[in-house]
Amino acid sequence: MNKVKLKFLAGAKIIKAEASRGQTLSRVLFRAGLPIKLYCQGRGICGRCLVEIKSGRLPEETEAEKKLRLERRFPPCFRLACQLRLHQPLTVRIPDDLLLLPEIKSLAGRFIGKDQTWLRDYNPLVKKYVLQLSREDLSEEERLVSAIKSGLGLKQLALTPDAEHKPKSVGASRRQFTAVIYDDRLLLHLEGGRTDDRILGLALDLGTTTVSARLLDLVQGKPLASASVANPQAAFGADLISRIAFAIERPGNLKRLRRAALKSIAQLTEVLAREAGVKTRWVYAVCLAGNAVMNHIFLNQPVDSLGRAPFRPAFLSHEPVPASEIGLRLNPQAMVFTSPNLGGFVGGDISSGLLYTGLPDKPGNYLYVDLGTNGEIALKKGKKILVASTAAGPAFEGSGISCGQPALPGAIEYVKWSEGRFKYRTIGRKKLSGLCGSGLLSVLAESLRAGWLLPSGRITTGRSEIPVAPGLTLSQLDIRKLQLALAAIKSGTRLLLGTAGLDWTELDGLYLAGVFGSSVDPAQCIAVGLLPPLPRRKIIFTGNASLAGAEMLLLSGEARKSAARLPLKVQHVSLAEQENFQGEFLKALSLGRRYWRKNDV
Amino acid sequence: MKPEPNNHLQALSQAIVQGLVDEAGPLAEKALAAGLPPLQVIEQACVPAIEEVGRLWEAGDYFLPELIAGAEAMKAAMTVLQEALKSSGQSLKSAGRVVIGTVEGDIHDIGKNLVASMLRASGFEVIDLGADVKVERFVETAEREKADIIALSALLTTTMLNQKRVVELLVSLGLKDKFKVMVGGAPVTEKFAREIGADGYGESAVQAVSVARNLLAGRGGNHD
Repeated sequence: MNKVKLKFLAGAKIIKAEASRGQTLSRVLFRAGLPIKLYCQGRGICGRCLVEIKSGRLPEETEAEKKLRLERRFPPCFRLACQLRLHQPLTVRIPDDLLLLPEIKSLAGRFIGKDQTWLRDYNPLVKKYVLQLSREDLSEEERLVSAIKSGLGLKQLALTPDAEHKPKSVGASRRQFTAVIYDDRLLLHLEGGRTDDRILGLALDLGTTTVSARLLDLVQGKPLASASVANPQAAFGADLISRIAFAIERPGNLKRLRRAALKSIAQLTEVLAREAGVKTRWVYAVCLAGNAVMNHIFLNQPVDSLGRAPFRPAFLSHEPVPASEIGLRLNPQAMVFTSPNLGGFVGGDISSGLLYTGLPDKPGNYLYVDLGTNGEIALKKGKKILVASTAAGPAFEGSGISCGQPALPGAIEYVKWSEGRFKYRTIGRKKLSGLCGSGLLSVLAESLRAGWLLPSGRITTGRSEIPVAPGLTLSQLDIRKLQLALAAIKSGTRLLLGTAGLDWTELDGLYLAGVFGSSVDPAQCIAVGLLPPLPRRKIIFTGNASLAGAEMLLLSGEARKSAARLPLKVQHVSLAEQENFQGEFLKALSLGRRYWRKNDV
Repeated sequence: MKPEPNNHLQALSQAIVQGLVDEAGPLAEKALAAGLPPLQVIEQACVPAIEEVGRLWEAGDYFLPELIAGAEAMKAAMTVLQEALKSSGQSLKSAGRVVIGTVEGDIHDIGKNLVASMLRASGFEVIDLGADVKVERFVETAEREKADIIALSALLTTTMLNQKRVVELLVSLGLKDKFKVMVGGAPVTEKFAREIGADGYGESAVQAVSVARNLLAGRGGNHD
């Protein structure tokens, strides 16, 4: 009796639903598994959640709807989903680009499972609203802010301190303006006329080796283009510690590192804008995910404290900084913020990765492992998250290994021992050139199975190398280096589990992020002992979780809230200072599943 | 049938090479019970055994766990044998006294522990100061303990400069000739060792032993 029957047309699908009398349509859609983008968070002012009523008696319009219809002149059958209250049966068409779901699919990457949807809400960091302002409104700054604030129904609104771009300077003869609002609390700019279809965001992953960027349309919530480039800072040191050493060595060096990073970001932005057919000055927000050293350099903070025990960062999170101050040439009003640091070697790349997986707010016990030169491990148990870093060395990136190479076309990414030889697959099926991280791991796993290798890591053949492919062999020394890299991750994982009083069998899931590409086989990871022998469905590959996390921070208000809370939930564990570190590390040097066997009496 | 003395020596030697920590001590006791003099057991079983462990390491057959197990087994045997020497009024001549530690700002100490184990197994007396050790503490301890060698470990490019600071402090106190300084650690190179004025550099724990021996034999370090 109090229920209203509804029919939704979404794409090719017809979905039937029931609503309680008086509920808003947006709420019902959310319940029916059709969440939509609520640009202004349901305040009825942006006019972006228009749906078409195909049949049924139309309920009365709210004040907000009336006002918008006068301004925009859309036909009466188009209504705002956030305002429409249901009293009569209706058939409603939901425009495809209003649905939140398609984005979840395209943004969530290839490996993260369908059930791992992370975009819980759509609330872009920068929004634009078209406003009619009177001459009086524009006469005084205070009056203007208050007019915009009440017009948009915002709880608070401040002006950017940048005096040159005070909204006053906009020619007062025009009546229509577009207000650029950052994070629902900061008026970045008042642009003349209507510009509300041009808002871009830039997600950045400033990695030690690679800088990746993705340009996003913040109106549609969709990625426009992605690209990456080698970090030119490598000229001043290959790894993080040598970059710190370089930065400390002489005044001015920090600036040189910074300039190198900014230059590569500028190049990437140009490339992306060209590819997407947009202008870089349409970018109003940048979110950067980088390890602590990288984001310290980016924000011009001293890195000294990161180079020595206890490896404390100078900051965890910070207020947004104008991009012009950083030296990024985007929209003059653009703002920049970084995903929070969680510790000296557990930086914004890890926090953004964690946010991407949704792990901080998910019930259960989860492990997050980022494999790189610096291996980072996070363990969530209950409400707490333990994080640690461990020096795995560059072996997983193919560096320091006689036949190793980065994961580029031609690198062996996978091998299988069959019929007395290694059958291999190269990236892009290109001509064989070397072994990348996943290939190396794969060779270890298959060599153990084929009996080429003992669990101690010794080659059994009486020779000092394993022939993998024509002209390609893995030496005993290579294997030793890989053992060290694996042991760093394995022992770190076990020590963290031990600190939390958790057994690996109690894990609900394990996320693997980092350098391993699409090719790594979870069964082989388990066979060499890198991961505890969890069932396949519990192991999730995230791909470049740092970049995806930065992207999410630009698009989701819930993610930003979660990011703000994250440093408070996190406890940093110094692995090297754990009492049983050495014993655990030595045990972890052995290859195979044995390490994860229960040896407690 | 009474086992040959050679069998006792061989069994003990085997136990050390294979890193059988729990068996090395009892096997040393058996050798003594069979009437073998402790010095002979040390010279003919223990020393060649630990040298064999070092050789297997250098050949790549042994890795860290085997190396450490070998050193531990050696230590277990030596504890028994030194006790026997002491009760017969003899003592083993120390190969030298070493003050060892990981430098300030650095908390990594597995490598340093390995060097300490190998030095001990090779007859050195080792005073291990642990990790994150202040520059002054190395020098003070070396003075107090009348050490021959100061061994400095650093695992980070940022902290290896503290190895240099130890050498500088020794120079400024006029103590540079009193102690030999040897350095090691992943980022440390022989060139760096030379540049900072260290007397010796070892690439591995096994090398560290021969470097230490050479330093005290008055033949200078690796790069002399």
